[in-house]
Amino acid sequence: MRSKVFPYLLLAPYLIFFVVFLAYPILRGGYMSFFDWGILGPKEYLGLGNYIDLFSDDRFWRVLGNSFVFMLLYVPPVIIVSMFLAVLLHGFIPGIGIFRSIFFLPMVINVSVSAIAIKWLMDPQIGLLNRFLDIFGIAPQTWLNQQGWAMFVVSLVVIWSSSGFNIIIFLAGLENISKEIYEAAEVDGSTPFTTFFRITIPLLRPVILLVTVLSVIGSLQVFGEIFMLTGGGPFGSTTVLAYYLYEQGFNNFEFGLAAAVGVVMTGIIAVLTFIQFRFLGEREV
Amino acid sequence: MFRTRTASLTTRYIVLIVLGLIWVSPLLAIFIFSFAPNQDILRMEIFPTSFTLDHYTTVLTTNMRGVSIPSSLVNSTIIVVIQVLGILILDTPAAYALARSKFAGRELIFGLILMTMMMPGHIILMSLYELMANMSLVNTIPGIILPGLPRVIGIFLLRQFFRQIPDELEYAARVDGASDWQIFLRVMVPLARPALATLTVITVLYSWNNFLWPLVIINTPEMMTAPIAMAYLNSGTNSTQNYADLLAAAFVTTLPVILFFFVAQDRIVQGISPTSGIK
Repeated sequence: MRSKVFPYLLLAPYLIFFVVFLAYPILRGGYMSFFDWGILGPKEYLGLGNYIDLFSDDRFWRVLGNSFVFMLLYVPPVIIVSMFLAVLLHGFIPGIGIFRSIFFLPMVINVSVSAIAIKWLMDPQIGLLNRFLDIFGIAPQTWLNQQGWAMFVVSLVVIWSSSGFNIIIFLAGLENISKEIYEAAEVDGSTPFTTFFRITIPLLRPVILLVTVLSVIGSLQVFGEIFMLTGGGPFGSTTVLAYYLYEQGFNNFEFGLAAAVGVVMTGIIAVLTFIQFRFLGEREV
Repeated sequence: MFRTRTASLTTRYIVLIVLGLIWVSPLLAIFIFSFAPNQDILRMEIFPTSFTLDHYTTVLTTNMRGVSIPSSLVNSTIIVVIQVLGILILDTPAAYALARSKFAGRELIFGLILMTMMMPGHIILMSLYELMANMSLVNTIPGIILPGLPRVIGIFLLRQFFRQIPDELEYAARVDGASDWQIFLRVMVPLARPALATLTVITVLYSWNNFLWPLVIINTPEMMTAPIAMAYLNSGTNSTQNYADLLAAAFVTTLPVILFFFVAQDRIVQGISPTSGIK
């Protein structure tokens, strides 16, 4: 006999935690965004005040701009690098397991640790990178203290730490392309170059879409690397959305304003995801 | 034909070796120089001039600016263990119900759960902090653990798995007189062991590496998790201080996760591949 209560009993414990620690805080976050909400003291209803403040503040526009700069510096390279590495790591050659481990490993390394390594290696006084570049006659740089370079370095670190995840998704996609197609292409005299662009890429299209969507979403949420490497500087040039939200929320304790930033982030992510599925998804082979 | 193949194989190895060296260089540099005298770092030696365990003694036996790395590792371990157990206990029955029982509101509940998966985690930071403050859980271990429990990925992963189990198995057990609970606990949970293992591995990594929430909720050195302890030490370090101690601390806090990676690599790969929805 199937009991009617049984499924609800199974679901109840999870749902309690889900409501208390996830669903309710999301809704309350949205609610907060309409208030002047300090950590202590009275809350004052502002209507759309926080949103008006945000969008009339040049600094917030700059933050939005920084987030899109990061997206451009991160998303295309991470897709290209991950796809390239996935093709190299696909199939069996002796020692392939070691190489896979090497390229997967960074995804489990904490941002605090990778950032310490990069901060040291790129330090203007004691960093080994400048020393290596000196061999090639390149003048020493103050990587993380220069506008432009700082965001570039951040994106390199995020590419390093997230490529393993994307390689795995690409490998799963490559696994699904049948060997016969490649054999047929080889018989027809296709070079590895044409095979890659005419066969692999078109057949990987759904996977590329997926990686693009995930990378775009991820890029708008980048926080740890910024916190560890630049603290939003120099001159605010790496203050991206998530970092700005953290600053407003937990340095200035402007919970209402920070929540409004969170709502804007959610909105941007939703719109971008929708656009990507709409325009890239339809042309599926 | 054969010659081009060998040539392309050689090229492939060369590219993999060069990129592989670049990829491991940050970790390798931490490892090598954590055994070097601090002057080597300040003088920018490319290879250490001598070998010392001093930095490891410092990291393992002293408080660095109030932070004890061993106790941060203990904190992290406690959090990982409780979050893994909590997530398995909460997610397994819920995912089973969502996958295999028919009841009113099932699609709605699953839809709502999935919807939260697409939200950036940042919008809830302030309200969660307020909630924790009301529960007097700011700067406590439960304060770090609780918000991590309703993670959606486990529901998603286990639901996929339970859906693939053929109905015949359930009918057979029912014919033998098994109750709903017996079918769930004696038939389904044992079958789900591979999926539970994958979820465990993913949860361990998430839990150990969680950064933003512990950063927000923890404010004293003795409560810090390993990554937050590293962030704290990093924030006060500049090139005139003992950099090698910091590198040794970085290596000590990373070693557990590196070892775990090598043990669990196949599960990690499995855990990522199916979420991509590729069949």
